[in-house]
Amino acid sequence: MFSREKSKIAFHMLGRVTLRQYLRMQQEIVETQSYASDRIQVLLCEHDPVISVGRMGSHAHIRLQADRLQAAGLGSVWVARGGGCILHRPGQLAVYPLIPMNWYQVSPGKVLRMVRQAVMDALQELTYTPLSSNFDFNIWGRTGLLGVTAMAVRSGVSCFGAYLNVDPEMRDYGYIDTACKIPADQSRATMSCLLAERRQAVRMAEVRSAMVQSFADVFECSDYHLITGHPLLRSFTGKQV
Amino acid sequence: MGHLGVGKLMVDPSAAQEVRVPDFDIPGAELVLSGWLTNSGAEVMSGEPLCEICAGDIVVEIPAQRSGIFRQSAVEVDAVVETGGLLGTIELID
Repeated sequence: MFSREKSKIAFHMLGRVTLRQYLRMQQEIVETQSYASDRIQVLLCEHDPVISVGRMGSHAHIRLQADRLQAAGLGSVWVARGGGCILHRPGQLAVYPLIPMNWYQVSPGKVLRMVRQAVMDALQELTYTPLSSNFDFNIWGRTGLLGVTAMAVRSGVSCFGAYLNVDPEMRDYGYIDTACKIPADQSRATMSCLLAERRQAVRMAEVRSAMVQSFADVFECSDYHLITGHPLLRSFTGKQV
Repeated sequence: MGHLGVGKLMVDPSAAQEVRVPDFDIPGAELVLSGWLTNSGAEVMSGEPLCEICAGDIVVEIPAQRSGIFRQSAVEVDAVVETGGLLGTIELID
């Protein structure tokens, strides 16, 4: 289990990477660190525009014509995670906690709850209180869906994670149904963002900083490492991103 | 029951380990078999993924706990499964 003495986390700030680059890196990390490691790696990044489609999603949830998708440069990628369709774009913070679950003896449900809690705590730290609901593992606000938790467990390691819309360009978000089910007090399955929710500027650097602290707290780690980039990312791109 | 030879492997069908749906600790979640990752009759190594179960916001690969010959149970892809439900058996390699 997690404890202040034992939990080890390395936070990697990746900057902007494509989803495909990230997926290759995640696969490499899972294959090399599955059972042997006791270190949690939390990777934070923003993705270039793309739509990922999880196991609960389908192209019926993407209500954009092919020519509009092409004009917007929006491709779609099927990914082996839970959840539905997610439009990724700069301004959306992706947080990927890769946890060796056997080492820490945590269940899939516990990981989902902890990741959601960490995102909720980060928002509290930013003086924003999301709607409190145990309806699902997503983060809901007055204006709709702010954050999504969509994960997988592969070789005993948690993959994928949480996506929080901070201040992305909102064009096209209204045509992507992300939530698989909607609470009674909500009307849309599409994503909103923190900027619309707070109606004041939100700096991504502040959100990242709050996210690091909240993940360290929720995973009970008092001594963590903060690293810019990741060695594997360098090997995939030929340069540090 | 005696040992049966499968290729170069010696398996003992009587010494089979059941593969069951683990407890995901997600109350109320519908569990769906989202895919088989290993064919029935294939040799698997311990840790190798056998199938994938979707519990809404999370997808979990179910690994082989032992090495052997995997036999799928009659569960169709996209079927709802229950915690503790039988997914197959692994006939242990002698």
